Amino acid sequence: MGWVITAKITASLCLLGASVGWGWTITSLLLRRPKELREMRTALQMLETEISYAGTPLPLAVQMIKQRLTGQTSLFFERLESEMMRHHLAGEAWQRSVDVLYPSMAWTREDRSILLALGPTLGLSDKQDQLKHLRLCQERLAEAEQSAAERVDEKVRLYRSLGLLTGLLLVLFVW
Amino acid sequence: MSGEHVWHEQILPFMYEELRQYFKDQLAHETGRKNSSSWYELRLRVGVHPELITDQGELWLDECRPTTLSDLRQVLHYMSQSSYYALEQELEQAYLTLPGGHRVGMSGQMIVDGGQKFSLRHISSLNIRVARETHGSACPLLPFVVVGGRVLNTLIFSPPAAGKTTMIRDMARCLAGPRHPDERCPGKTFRVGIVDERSEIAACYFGVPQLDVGRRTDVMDHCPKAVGIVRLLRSMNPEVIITDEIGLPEDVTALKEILRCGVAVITTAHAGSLKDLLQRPWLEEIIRGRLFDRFIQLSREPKPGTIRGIWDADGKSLAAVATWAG
Repeated sequence: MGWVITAKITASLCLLGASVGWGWTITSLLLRRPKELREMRTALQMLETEISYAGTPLPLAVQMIKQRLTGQTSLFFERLESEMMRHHLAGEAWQRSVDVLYPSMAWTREDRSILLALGPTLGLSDKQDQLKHLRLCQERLAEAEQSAAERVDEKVRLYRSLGLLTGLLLVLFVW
Repeated sequence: MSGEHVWHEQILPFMYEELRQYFKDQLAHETGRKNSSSWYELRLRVGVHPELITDQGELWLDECRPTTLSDLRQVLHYMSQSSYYALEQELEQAYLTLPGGHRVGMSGQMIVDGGQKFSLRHISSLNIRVARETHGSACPLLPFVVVGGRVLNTLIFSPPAAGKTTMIRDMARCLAGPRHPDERCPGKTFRVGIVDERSEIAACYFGVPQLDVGRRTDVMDHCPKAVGIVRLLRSMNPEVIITDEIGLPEDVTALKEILRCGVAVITTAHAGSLKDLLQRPWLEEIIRGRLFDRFIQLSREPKPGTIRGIWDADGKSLAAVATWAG
């Protein structure tokens, strides 16, 4: 009988751990999203400054922005830099970087489509037009960031509790 | 750098795929490699086969399909590093410089903004001119220009395409001492300042000279001559200022200012003869004012860079020779 109880305790702990972990993973994604969107917005602001004041060409601007960023978004600009070095046009490189980084970022499908919309115009027009597109993208990211922040307030406690409660429910089934 | 390397490393990366492949195939053959040093201009026009200008004449690349608008756009995106906005000044002046000093001329529809600002929008032709340096072309002139350890104020004149810019570039290299250690020779060198309004002398790319203009040379790139001359004088303390194609009243005013500051000036002007030079407004004033000590005439016959004559401030001929300086 002893081994049955031991197995039940082990299973309960595993189930509880797994469901609490699931709850925390979901919430960490929820928490990361506004942060990553904010970082991306800051990066686009830097790009806007580089374009408007210095007319810095994209490869150099991307390299400079990458060095100034920390966190996940720097990985995006690192990827973008390497894609541009592989002789891809900026728009193409942008699109590839968004697609490659999408699974590892906290972006939603909506965020991804906001970013992808910037790609085809990147570097292809004069300063004023570039600034317009960058500002539009920043505005859309700001809206997404705001809704993500609201979602954090609503959902974080819910998912954490849900994880714990699901775990406890499963434990009850085991016993 | 051999012609083959120049094409492989500095020209082909900017071409559209099909043309890049065509040249790669040509350069894969012995004859192509040998001929590549004589290819000095590539012209791309929408709807027309690419045209290659060589020392032997024009060559139409009929094996390639006619260039399309999208091909030209692709070339421009590569040349601008996918940053069209960074070409604002270049589009206004209708040319840009590539790494290596190669110049790309552009033409198409010019947009005029308020009657003041011009900019190319719809580009339909590109002209890629391969930079070729002629080291040593200024050597025969040096004994006439440097006298008693002092550089004399010199005006080089000729009709267009007679090698004036090549001559002053090599003059800068000789006066400031060549960059390459193997080319250096003992002798006095000078602090040279170049005001390169059209990026033709030093062919700067992001402000860095791509051609050898000497190791003691400072370049003010993309800067109007009148402004650049004064700025350079104040900021870099040059002993010699070199600039190209003077002719505007403000250029002449700036020149007069520095000629009185003890800084030597070497410059060029378009003129078929000494008589033509005297008839050019503004220039007559500085010539008659004896501000220049030497006048050098170049000719494109039999080859660009041929020295046709050298005169002093009094108009006395010092050498009336037809020597090719290259």
